Amino acid sequence: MPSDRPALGLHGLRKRFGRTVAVDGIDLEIPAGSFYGLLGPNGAGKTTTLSMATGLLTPDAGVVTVNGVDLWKNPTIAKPMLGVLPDGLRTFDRLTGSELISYAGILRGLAPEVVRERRDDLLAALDLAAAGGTLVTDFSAGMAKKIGLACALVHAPRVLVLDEPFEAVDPVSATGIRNILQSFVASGGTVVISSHVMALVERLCDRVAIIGAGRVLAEGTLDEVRGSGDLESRFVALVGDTREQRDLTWLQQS
Amino acid sequence: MVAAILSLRWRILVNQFRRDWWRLVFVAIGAIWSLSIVPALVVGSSALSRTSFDVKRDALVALATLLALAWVLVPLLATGVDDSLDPARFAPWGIDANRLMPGLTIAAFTTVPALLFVGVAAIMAVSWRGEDRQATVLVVAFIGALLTALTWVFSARVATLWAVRLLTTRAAKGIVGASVAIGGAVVAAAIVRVRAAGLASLLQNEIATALTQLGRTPVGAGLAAPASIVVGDVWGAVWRLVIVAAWAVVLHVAWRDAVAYVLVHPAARGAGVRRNGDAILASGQRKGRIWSLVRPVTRAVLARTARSWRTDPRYIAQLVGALVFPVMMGGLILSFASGSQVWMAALPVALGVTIGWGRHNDLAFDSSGSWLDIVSGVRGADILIGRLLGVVLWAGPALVAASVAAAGLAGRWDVFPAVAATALGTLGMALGVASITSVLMPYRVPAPGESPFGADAGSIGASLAGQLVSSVGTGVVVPFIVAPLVFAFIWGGAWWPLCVVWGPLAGGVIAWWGTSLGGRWYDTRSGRLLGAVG
Repeated sequence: MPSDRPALGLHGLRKRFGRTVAVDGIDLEIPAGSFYGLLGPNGAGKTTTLSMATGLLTPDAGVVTVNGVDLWKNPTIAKPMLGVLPDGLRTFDRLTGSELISYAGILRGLAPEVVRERRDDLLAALDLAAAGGTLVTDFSAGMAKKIGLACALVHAPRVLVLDEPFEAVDPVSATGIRNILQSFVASGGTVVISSHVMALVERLCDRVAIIGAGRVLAEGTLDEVRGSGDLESRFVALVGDTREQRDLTWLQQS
Repeated sequence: MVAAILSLRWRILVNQFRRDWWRLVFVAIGAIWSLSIVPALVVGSSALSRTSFDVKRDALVALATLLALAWVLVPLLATGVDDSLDPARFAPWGIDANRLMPGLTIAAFTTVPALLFVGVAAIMAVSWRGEDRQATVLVVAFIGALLTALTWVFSARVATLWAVRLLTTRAAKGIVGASVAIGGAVVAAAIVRVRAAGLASLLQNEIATALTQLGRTPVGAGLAAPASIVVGDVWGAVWRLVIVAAWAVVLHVAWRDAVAYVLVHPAARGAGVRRNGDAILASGQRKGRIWSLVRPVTRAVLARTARSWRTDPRYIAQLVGALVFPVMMGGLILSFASGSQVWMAALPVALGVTIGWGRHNDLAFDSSGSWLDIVSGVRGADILIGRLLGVVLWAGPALVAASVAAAGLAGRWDVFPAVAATALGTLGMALGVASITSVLMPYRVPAPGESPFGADAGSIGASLAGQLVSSVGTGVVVPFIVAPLVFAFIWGGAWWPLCVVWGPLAGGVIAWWGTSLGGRWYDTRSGRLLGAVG
């Protein structure tokens, strides 16, 4: 049952690394039951924002709430409500795919019998059954992404925060993941994804935010943000312009 | 390509210093330390120059042998000191190994240790001044010393590249076992030999013979060659220089081959291993009174840490270093030390301290994989206890075995329970201190898949600070654990049974306290940990 409190609330989030301001006062309220897309060019601050929103990076300032609970003040209450798939971070690669899901389940306090059942379900649903006995270190990038997604799902969280969940995933697996996520949202769950693939975001998300230089440049329902054009045109208009792109004549083959 | 590689090394250094200026302080300290030993070397060389040519030859060959061993063993056993350019980083650019080698070769001599030891070799050569045919002797001495220094640097490169290659194969466990067995056998053989023959007799006979023979091998021939000129044996000097030069060429070819291999074989994959069981789930289902005391999360962390100690090349390299290096050094020192054999008891106790101290940056080995622990909201203490138990799993039996060996070699089986208990106590104590420092002062270590011997060039300063603090912390608490054992050796009586109780009890309490305190800090610092170790 969607609540009137935002599933994920970011208020005045700021983060600076040395002289670089990565996130410069981000305010977002992500409604419960929404499929939310976070868009932005490389280096816009998406991953930094999501890291602060999931307890992986201490913000310099600002508040993060999960269903109204302050994540940084009450992590033991807020974190169990989150399922997280970070981008670009390693994992415990000497475990097999099965063991990694089991590990995530046990960390989340699930009983071994429950972990076993959910682990097998997830391996089958994400087309990883054959990879269950392979060490994660031998996984392809797409398989590693899928096993990370399984770890995020195993405890049936209320909010999923997924950084580039479709990156390196083959089209067949991507269809499976889309179905899982859409049915999760249909059942009242909330999904937040970051992505560069506009077509995917237009197809999946009902709300989007476009971030540039650590700030929110546009936010709202998909229709509100893209207006009369498509999302890509709106995105390019907000975060950059290709007119002055340098022409690499030396790259031309003839 | 030479200029490109050298400029790359220079740019990396400059950018690191720009990012973290304080690293310059540590480099300066290293340089000052290096320069500070030069006067002692000059004085030693001067004293040596006044001795007879055969004494000089034997002393220089002995020194060259020790340094040759050090250049091979130190980068392997004291992991994280190899700050040379990792050739695997060039893999994406499709450059042939032959084109890389000239640049890598020169770059290998731009490190502080390489520069220092080329200087050491040159100072060793100067010891030959004042001999007959001085000009020829000195020319031969310099050529021999510099060729020998080349072999040191090349052998370190070959050793680390080959070790990475071996540790990433399925045979890694066998290799570790063999290394530990060979290290132990060398120490045991040395101790038995010294005790049987006596140190004075050994120095006079066997060691003198061994040095003469080493002077005919690539290890010592470069330093022994000038002695041949002194006695008028020109061909003796020539062939000695030739075999050192040939050895340098062989090592360089082996290095080139190892570089060519890493360019097309990404390191630290899982060697295609498949596993049927689920060790993590099994850990959660263990029954029994002892297991019921350990929380399921801690058991899961223990299970994955135990897997890392068995299969991750970074952990395996640490394990070998933690066991072989202290045992070899301690054993060799003890075998040559005169006096009571009760000093044998110090070996397992010291081993407990060094193994525990070696974990002062333990959390960093989880690298950015820690994100899963952090987002799950697991208590830091559960993570730290699981990791600590993963060490106790192999270090506990190792310390008991070392105590058995020490008691046997000393011929004092009566001291075994007290020595083993104290050794386990020092392990617990040092691991407790390490649980705190690894949370408070973590520094980057090679990430999974990188060379386990490499120093993350950005971490040298942080590692020194972390090591200093953990050394002080461990040093302050050690007497607290070891005192009853010392008193037992002095006064005997009730001190012996007290040691048996005191060691595990005090070590256990400090381990518990360290993981609790470290765990609390882990919980408050978790949002900063990934940035420090990832």
